[in-house]
Amino acid sequence: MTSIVPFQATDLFDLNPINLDPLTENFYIYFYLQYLSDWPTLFYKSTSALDEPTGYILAKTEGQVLKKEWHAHISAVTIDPNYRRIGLGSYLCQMLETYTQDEKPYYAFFIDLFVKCNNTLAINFYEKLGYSVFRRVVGYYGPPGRIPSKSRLNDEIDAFDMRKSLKRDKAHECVRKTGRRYHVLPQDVVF
Amino acid sequence: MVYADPFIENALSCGNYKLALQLVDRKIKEHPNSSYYFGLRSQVLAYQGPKFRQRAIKEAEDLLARCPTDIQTLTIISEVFDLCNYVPLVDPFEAVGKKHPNSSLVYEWFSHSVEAGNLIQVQKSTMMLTKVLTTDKSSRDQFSPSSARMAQLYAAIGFVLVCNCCSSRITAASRKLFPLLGLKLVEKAKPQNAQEYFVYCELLKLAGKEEQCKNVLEEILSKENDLQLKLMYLDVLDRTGKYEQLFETCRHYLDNLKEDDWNTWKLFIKAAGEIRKTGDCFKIINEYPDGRNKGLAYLELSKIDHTLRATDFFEAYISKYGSKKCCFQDLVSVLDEHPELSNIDDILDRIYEKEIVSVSSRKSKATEKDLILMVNYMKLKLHQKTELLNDTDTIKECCTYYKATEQLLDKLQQFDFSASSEFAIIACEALLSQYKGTQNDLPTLLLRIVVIMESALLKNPYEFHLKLWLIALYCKLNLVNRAESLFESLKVKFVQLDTLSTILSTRISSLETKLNSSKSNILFQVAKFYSNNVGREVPQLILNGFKQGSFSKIQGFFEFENRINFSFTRLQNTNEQIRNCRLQDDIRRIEITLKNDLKSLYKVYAMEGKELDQKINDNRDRKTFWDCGVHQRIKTVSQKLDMINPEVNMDYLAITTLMNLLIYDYNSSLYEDYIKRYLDLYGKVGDIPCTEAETWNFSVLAHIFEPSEEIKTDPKIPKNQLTFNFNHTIFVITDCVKQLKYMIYDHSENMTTKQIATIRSLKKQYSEVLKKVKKDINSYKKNEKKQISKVEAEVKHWFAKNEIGRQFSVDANTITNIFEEIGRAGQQSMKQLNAI
Repeated sequence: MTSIVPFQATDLFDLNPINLDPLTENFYIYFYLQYLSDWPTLFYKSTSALDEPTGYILAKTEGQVLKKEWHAHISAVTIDPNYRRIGLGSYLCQMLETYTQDEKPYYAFFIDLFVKCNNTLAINFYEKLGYSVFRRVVGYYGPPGRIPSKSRLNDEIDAFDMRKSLKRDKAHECVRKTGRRYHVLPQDVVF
Repeated sequence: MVYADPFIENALSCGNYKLALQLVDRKIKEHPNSSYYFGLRSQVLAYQGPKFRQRAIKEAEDLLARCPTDIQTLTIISEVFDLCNYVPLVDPFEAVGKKHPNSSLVYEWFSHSVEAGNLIQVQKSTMMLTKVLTTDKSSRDQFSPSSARMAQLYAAIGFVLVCNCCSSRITAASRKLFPLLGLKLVEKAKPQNAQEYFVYCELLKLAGKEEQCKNVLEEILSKENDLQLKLMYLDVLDRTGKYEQLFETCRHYLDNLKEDDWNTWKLFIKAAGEIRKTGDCFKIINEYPDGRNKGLAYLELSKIDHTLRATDFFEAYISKYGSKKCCFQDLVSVLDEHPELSNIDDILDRIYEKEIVSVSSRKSKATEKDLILMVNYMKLKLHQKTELLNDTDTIKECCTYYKATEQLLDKLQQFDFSASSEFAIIACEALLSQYKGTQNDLPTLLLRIVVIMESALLKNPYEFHLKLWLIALYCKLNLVNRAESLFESLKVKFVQLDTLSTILSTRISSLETKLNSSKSNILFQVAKFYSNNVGREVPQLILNGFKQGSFSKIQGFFEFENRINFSFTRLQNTNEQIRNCRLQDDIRRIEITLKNDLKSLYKVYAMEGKELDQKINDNRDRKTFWDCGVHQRIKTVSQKLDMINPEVNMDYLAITTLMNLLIYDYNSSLYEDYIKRYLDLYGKVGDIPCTEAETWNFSVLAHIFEPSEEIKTDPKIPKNQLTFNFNHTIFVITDCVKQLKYMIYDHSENMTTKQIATIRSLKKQYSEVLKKVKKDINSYKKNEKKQISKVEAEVKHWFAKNEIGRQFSVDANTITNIFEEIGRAGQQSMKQLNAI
């Protein structure tokens, strides 16, 4: 059984079953609290019948409306290992579409996220949800100080910027079919 | 605190208060109009001890009467009152803020209240802010948010906070008045978005205007699908008994908006029951797309519609989701609440015959789905009858399933983990549950369990429940070095330090391996987290929450702030650091920082309040450890685990805190209170989870303050080095001698000659005990390798020859490898004894 409930700061005390998973990042307190204060409706959790968190998603909005870049960005989505393979991750992502596509309060053109180019599992997962690669950000996950070059591709440190159009992007102008071949550098990804 | 003058700061940090006072007086002559130096003067007096306390309070009060508007001065005055344990009639910021209501000062008052997590002051300051910004138009642009409107909303949420979080501290009249005042403010501000409507509706609820609240929610929800407001709306409909409307609204969300949400389903079914529409409800469930919520909705409906057979739906759910890890947790709450499901033996038997027997007997090769079904089957079986843990057949069954599915472990992908570890953990719980021996023999069983869990971890290296168990076991076995490695592999950080670090850092023995490197040990990391991350980040982000108008999150922010600032782990960590520093003779750190931290936390503890900012909040995660197997703390198992290094509780923490305050805070005006509370707690020491050595240590201190309290028999050092009590007892004896030594030198003024004589005599007596211990340690160290080899042989024999041991199929090579690690960790533990 799954309920979707707004995330509160005190939920941070109950995340161990989710965050002890080695693939889930544990962020600084300020990261979670900033998302809560700046995008209060885009940070929510799934809960079990016992009201325990079983997963959560945190997202933000950014970009300019005029450039048709106003969008929601998924910063993190993660599920308790005991609640995987039941469509919970998809459900959290779908709920984000529900909350961001309507005229009020967000009316975003699209949702995007970044994923490592070698993370085939995640890429397949998002493709099933209707996301497609918009561009490859070369060296996005590279070590600080290293200057990336478009000619040096590396699946370990490059990211796919994946997007899904929402209702507002009627003509699907915010996505592209040949995104895997479109390479940019991290500094080009500015909204 | 950062001081304006480095010389004064140096003098204060060295404890040279006379010099500090001279320097401050000189500054006062130079700057006779500076309130700051007058404030500093009262602070130096407060530091100088009990003789100067009254003067410090008087000078601070006189200064406050002059209404200084300098923020630093007001902060100092607050600190002076705090140092002197003096509670003024009015908070210094409030006193000045009310007399000089200018926006900067009132905003500082508000910020200060946010930083302190003081909700009553947050409410008062935000209310004052609305007045200031209405009257003092020139000041509106001084800070963001710049409008009087936002200040009105700040004040409105301030009323919500006080009513929700401090209701026992406000009068009944205020409880009625505050929501009405808040409503006036919100109505003036005219809410514009979901967050502002949230404040409005919270106040309407608090004012008992449920009907109006419902109407407002309907209005905003027709324009915006906001999750928080939707939940509030469903709740209002439920509480006001508007079941027809609740039924239709839930149907709208479930059916029209396709929001497949269990909270909505539950209310939908409840409403259906109330208005006798269970037939319609059943139809909607039937037509709904397949999913876990649908399966469980049938079961929920069968609670009120007795024409439906719960057992059929239960079995159908297992056949559909039995191969999902969450199946057991999904069903467990239904099992506990549904009378028709009190006995599911027949269902379990059918699952066994149909799905499990062929796999467990190896007639068919197990798949991942089979494994998970077997795990769920075992969990459901044990949930029904926890007493099965006392049956050796349960261990055999777990081993059979583990072996039948073991080949799947070879196919695990990186970072993935297998459910098979559950069998290992259940088997170990059963071994513990069935243990009938004494504390002395327990380490041998714990070592067997370590072997079982370590070998499971070898094939399932990312399974964190196994790691948590192993950390706890290694700490009990005096093998902290290995526990530390596993803890590091969990990459515990930030909030997790508050919830998880106590598993490693409880009691002196746990610190042994890094006793001499205070900067890298876990205690230091935890302390740094509170001072750096919590102290610096949280108040700023709460202010940001106000600025962004994220009103639905503000209460959670304050609850988080107070829970983490006044947390059990923080207090325990401070006590452990004090013990650590005392053992290393680092008294300066205790005097300068740790003592003050302890005093502040003790003040919160002593309030014994019901509310978050008036009590020590226990955020320790003791759930994840038990969140495997039957997903509950099993009494028979935890009792066995607590035979060595028992889990500590609030009373343990209180008596330890008071012991340290009695040693270091001898100038406090609360000293008599410390003694009384310490002796009261000591009176029930038998019920506090202390070790034998700790009880003895507490008795020594109790005897000093109340000679009629007899000192317990000297603690005995166990012969077995593979038990927590070995290093622990030695450290406690050492620590006790150091406590007495400190008291002889520093308590000469506040104790009677007789007391000092008693302390001297005790110190002499225990120094002799310690000398003997030190002599014995060398022989123990020499013996250590032999002892470990002997235990290794015993463990190998058990796994090879014992009927139960053989079930685990752990080969001798694996045991040898595990014992190599144990040997290394054991050596590290022995090395730590050099520090005493």
